[in-house]
Amino acid sequence: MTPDGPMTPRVGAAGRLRRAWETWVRLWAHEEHPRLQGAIRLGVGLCLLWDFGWIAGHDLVVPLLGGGEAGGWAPNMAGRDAAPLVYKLLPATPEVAWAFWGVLFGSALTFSLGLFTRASALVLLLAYAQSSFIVPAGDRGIDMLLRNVVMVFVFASGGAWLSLDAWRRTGSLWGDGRPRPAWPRHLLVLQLIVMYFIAGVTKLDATWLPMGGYTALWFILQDTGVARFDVAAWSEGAQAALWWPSRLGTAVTTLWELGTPLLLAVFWARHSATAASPGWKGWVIRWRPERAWMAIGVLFHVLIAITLDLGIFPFAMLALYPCLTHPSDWVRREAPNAASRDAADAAAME
Amino acid sequence: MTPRDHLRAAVLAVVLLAHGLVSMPWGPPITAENLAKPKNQEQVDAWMLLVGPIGLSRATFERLLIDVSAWIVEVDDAVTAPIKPVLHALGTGQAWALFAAPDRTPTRLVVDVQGPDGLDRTVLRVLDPELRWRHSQLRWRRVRGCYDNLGEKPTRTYSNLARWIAARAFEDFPDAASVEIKLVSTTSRAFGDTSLRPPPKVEHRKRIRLPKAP
Repeated sequence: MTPDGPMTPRVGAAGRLRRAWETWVRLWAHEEHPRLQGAIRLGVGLCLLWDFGWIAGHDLVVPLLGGGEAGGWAPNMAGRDAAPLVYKLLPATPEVAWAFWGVLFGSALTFSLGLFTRASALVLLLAYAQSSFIVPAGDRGIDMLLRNVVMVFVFASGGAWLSLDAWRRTGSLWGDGRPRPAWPRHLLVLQLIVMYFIAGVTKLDATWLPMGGYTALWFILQDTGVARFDVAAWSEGAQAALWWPSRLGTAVTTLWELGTPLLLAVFWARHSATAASPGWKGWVIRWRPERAWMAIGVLFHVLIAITLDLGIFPFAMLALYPCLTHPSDWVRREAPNAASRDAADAAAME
Repeated sequence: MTPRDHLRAAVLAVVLLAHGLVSMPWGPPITAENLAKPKNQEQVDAWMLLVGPIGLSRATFERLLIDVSAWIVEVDDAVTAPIKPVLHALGTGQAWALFAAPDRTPTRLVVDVQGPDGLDRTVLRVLDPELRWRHSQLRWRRVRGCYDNLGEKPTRTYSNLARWIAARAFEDFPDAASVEIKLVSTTSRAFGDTSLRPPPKVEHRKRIRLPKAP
């Protein structure tokens, strides 16, 4: 005892550091049912299959994946310092372009099917990266995002649910439901947060802000490069109907993107508290505010898909959204009866 | 907690630090020349509404933009130098700028085919419901990237694309004597803005004649 009361052990800087490190280790160590990783693998894989299929279906394999010597849009590969490895090793012929496309499409197919999932993800990542060096102008932001995601799947348990790997190992496409490391899903959550937040921070153009009248979406909808409709050719009445919703959409988009880091607080609450916890953490778990954020995100991407011609972008983004939920959120939809629901609940518990 | 847990946490800390560093939305540096462009001066006008009342003059604000951006880019280049080769090799990164600045003078791809009578006939004008030759192919996201936002000087990729478009046009229109590929820009206006809109401007034009038979 001290004169002021019970003695409390003093924790020094080293102790605080050790405690912080242990919290960090625990954060990445826990396990969960692999269904969400499997669902995201399938969604991302299907988007890539569609995209690579589009290249072949529209006669663009040689233009986009061939060297200039073969009739591609890329500069000639011979003697080019920045030539992709594939064209340093092989001649830039149409046959090589098609073979390279075959590797891209084939690895996306086996990745989607969950066949040798990690090896497929590695081949897909490397081939996809090589493709970005051939015609860099044809490689868009969504391609970089998907490569980030595929890189995570090189190490994730994406093949443990709804996959041929699960069938090979357990005799069931759904796998054995054994908990797997949850960190890949958590990395995808962080990826979404970084992407949306940085997109919000870079919106410094006045048209995204009050001083520019929140007119950014209005101008984007008139951008003939990306718009699905020729808004400038619409009647004045039709344009008037779009004016205020586009301004509201601009304001909501900016706030929504800049508010994305609040999701970190939500996930921290989920990790460190229960619904019965007092204060904001318990409130967050009971009311699930991330669902409102997700609903705005879904609406945002659906409206993008309707109004802008951005290829797989809105669909690939939505394919990542399951990472914002928890495996136990999906148990009751999937399990056929109470007994199996209880068993699945138990398996999904962290 | 096992050693494996500690190792995993350490590796993830390094990965997150690396991606955190490259996700910072810096660069390219703002130059005086770039800042003097009319569209950027419009941005400065808008920002002066915010920073003017706190006592910053326009010249001081512009100087600050140039100096601070140069310093940030210098520090960022130094810090991220060891990471960038790995990210480049894997085609990964965190450079996100989704429509950071809407294009107020967007360009539209137009393809004209010259018939044997010497007259040009437009076969593609992007978004025109009647002039849709190979519209879905030439409008696709990866193809659009090769001609959108070209700047003042066309790239080698664009020149190859233009030649490819001409070759397809000669196949599809056997009577064609030449093909012209144009990027035409128009100025977008806010709703209710009745000021005179500048006429559409041809930013890039490439006419390709039918190759003579050997």
